[in-house]
Amino acid sequence: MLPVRYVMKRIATYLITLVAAFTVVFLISHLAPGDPIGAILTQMSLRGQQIPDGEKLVEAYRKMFGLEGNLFQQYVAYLSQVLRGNFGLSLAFFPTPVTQLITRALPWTIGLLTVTVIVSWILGNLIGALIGWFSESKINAIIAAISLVLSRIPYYVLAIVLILVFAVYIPILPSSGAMSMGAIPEFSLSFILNLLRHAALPALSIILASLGGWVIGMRSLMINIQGEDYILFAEAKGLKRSTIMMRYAARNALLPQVTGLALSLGYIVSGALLTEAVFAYPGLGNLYITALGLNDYNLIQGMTLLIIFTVLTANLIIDLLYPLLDPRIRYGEEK
Amino acid sequence: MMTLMDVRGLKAYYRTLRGSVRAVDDVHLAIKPGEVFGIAGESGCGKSTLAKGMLRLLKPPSYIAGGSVVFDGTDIVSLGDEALRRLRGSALSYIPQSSMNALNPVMRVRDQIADAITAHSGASADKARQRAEDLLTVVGLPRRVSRMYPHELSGGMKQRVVIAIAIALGPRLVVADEPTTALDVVTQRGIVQALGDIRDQFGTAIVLISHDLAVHAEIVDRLLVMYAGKVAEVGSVYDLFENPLHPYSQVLAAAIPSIEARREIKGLAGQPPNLLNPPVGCRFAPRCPKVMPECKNEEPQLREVEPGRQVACLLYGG
Amino acid sequence: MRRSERLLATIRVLGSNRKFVIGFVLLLIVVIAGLLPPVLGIHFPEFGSAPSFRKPSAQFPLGTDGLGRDLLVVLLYSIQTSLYIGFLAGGFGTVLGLTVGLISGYRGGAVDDVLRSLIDIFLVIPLWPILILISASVKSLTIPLMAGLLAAFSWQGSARTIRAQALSLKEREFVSIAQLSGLRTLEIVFAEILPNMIPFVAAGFVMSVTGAILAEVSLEVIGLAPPKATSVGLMLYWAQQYSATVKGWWWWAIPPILVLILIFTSLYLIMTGFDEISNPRLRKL
Repeated sequence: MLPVRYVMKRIATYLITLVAAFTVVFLISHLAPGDPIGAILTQMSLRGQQIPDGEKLVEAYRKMFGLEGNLFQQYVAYLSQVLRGNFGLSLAFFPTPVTQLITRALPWTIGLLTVTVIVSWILGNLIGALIGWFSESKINAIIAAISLVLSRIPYYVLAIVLILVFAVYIPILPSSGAMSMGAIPEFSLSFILNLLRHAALPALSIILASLGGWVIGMRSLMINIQGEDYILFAEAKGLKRSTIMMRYAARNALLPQVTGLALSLGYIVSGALLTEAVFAYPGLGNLYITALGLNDYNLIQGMTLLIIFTVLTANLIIDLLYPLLDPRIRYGEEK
Repeated sequence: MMTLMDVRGLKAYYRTLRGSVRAVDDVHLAIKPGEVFGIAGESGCGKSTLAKGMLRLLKPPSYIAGGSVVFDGTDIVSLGDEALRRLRGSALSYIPQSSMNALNPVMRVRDQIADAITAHSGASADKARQRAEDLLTVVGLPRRVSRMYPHELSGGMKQRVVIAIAIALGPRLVVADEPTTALDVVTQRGIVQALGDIRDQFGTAIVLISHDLAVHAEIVDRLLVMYAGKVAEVGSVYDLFENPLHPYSQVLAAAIPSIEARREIKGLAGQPPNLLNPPVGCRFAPRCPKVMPECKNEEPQLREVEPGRQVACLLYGG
Repeated sequence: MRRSERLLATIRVLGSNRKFVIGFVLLLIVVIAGLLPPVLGIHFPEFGSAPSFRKPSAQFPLGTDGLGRDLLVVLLYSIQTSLYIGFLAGGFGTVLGLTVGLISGYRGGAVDDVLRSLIDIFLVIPLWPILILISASVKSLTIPLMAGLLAAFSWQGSARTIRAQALSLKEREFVSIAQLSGLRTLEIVFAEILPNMIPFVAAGFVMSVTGAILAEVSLEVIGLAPPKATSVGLMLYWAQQYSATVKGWWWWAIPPILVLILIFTSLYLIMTGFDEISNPRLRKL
């Protein structure tokens, strides 16, 4: 029932891409001036900290990441550490492990991303399907034009504009952070509302920035599909227009849109992270800014690896789910 | 004998930047219940446009420019959208030209048959699926096809599925647009037989559109020959093959190869006229072997020369 | 046709397409604006050359920033930098995309498979994190370096289009003739195929520039920019740093945003204009 060759090929590509990306990141990090140990030692002395067993820590670090061997040994050592979930120690928050810092920021990003990607994809395809199907109406041309303009506006521009409009001129929503200062996290309605209020603008920003593209894509797919023979035949069968639009046209138009989602995930994630940075929303995007400001190279490196891994994995998952939607792939290999 | 479908003065054009192409220009025809009515003609003569026009399935830039199509007392051309939808599939069916792509790629065969059934009758989904499987056997397909997807079927099988959908609700009339083109000869035979069976078993009238005269010869009762958007001749299939009156029908009949007689097959020189600006007078005049001087100025009208036999030619006082 | 005749014919075709003309004119306006200060002899404002934090007025139409600089002049110089980096990166990216696309499309086979996977990988990976990583890895982000970096991530678009074109052109007659006459692969590619791809190369260039400027600003807006230069993205960064948006100092943020929208719109119109010209079917949509 499952297209075995398709699945195997996709997983193979996935693994190869992961290794390639990891290698690229590793090589880039060796462009960095200075060495990690030196950086750690500098940090330690800058803080004037007396970290208990500081010397031992540095030695252990050196061993773990194979910093005494040649390039290849370092590569292998780093890979084996990463596979164990060890992305090294943060330089700015020494000796906190990078993973710990990431884990603190991760839930915010994941929450924001999943909601916004799902909402913008579903809403965008719905709107696009409607205006693509009823393409003669004038309102639809206007909606299409607005979507087109929206799709060309970069994520950060939209973010700043939204801040200006809704946080400054019509001050109804907060412009930064995930919760009000001094708010105590608790499981109460007022706190949840607080969270939602703070997430509103970043989410709106990401949704609006992504929406336009889906609308335009779905619209042109629907317009093209209307010329297909099976639509004409469905009409000749005497089916209701709404049935034809949903089960015949939109159902087929969704297939390339799913593929499109997989392909644009990288772009959307980039935009979402940047939006977080602009809104100082405490997710990974904001963590990047912090890391840059504090020159925490390990943190930046760890985050980059993790984000690439997550995007590639999400991509793989979508690709593996695709056969469920397209019977031509699902049953394509049996004959 | 009452007429099932009466087409009067049907005009179907399509808009281009330079004007309207008159693909179907003032066509009359009448179809009796239970008969197999063939429409023949070369590519581009307007047969397909006529088929779609009769069912109001024309899409922009094509449009119906005039005339009426009276089916069972109702004029389809002026009918409301919802009433037309109810007629389609249930009383009046269509088998499209390219059945290769007529099926929804993401739906199983049985669901595509079943949704036509549930759209017009109050049948439950299960009942509809049952009926779908039964219909497959009627068109000569094994039951297991019902669970398959279109891409798993061969061309001939897809064609049969389309036929099954078209007859699912026992329509009074089925318009089959080139049902055998793009199929090999053996499969063609099967499809033609299937159509014949349908007429025999259910009394459905069939309008068969094809440029292939051999197909018409096998199954059709009456035949209409079209040329350049107009009707050239109508009559029983025997008359049209053994004693064609219109010069164009004569050329068509003579062009059929015969196993018995070895003779020279004559084709027809020249091209069909430009339907954007049709010439004055008879449209066949430039290529007609029996052309007369009047033909270039006077357009022949369709005239009944014998009961059931109509010709549009000045030779017969048209 | 002679070169000059071909050029005139091209200009006429381009000029007939409304979208292209509007886009081109808009872009020209932006470019001219960027070139105004040096032409008019206005130097880049020094720190403290004007009172700081002023609102827009007749003397300073866009007000002044925190370092005492006339924001209007700063904006005009920023346009210069941003466009320079963008076009430079776009150029690198187009050359890269062109090379990869041509080789991939023309050679086919295993080479094509490998290169195509490469293109796809670059499309899927999120751009921003990697750009940050690289920026953090280099000592200083000079302009050519930044352009090179941006080019590395804006070449996929044109590579894909060029590859598709190379694939279709490969089968055409004039290529077979060239092959028969014994020209080497590289010669064929450059002498025969390339001239037929100029519209696609041009379109690819516009795409690369758009991608480059998008990526460029996405770095500048968090402060990663070549030192000593101001760019449009950097102006947005300063606006954020000084919380200008929250304080309602719209003149810090809105003008750069408007310039960006102008640039992207003009580039988009030019690209769509190209599309319509090379694909007549799109003309009425």
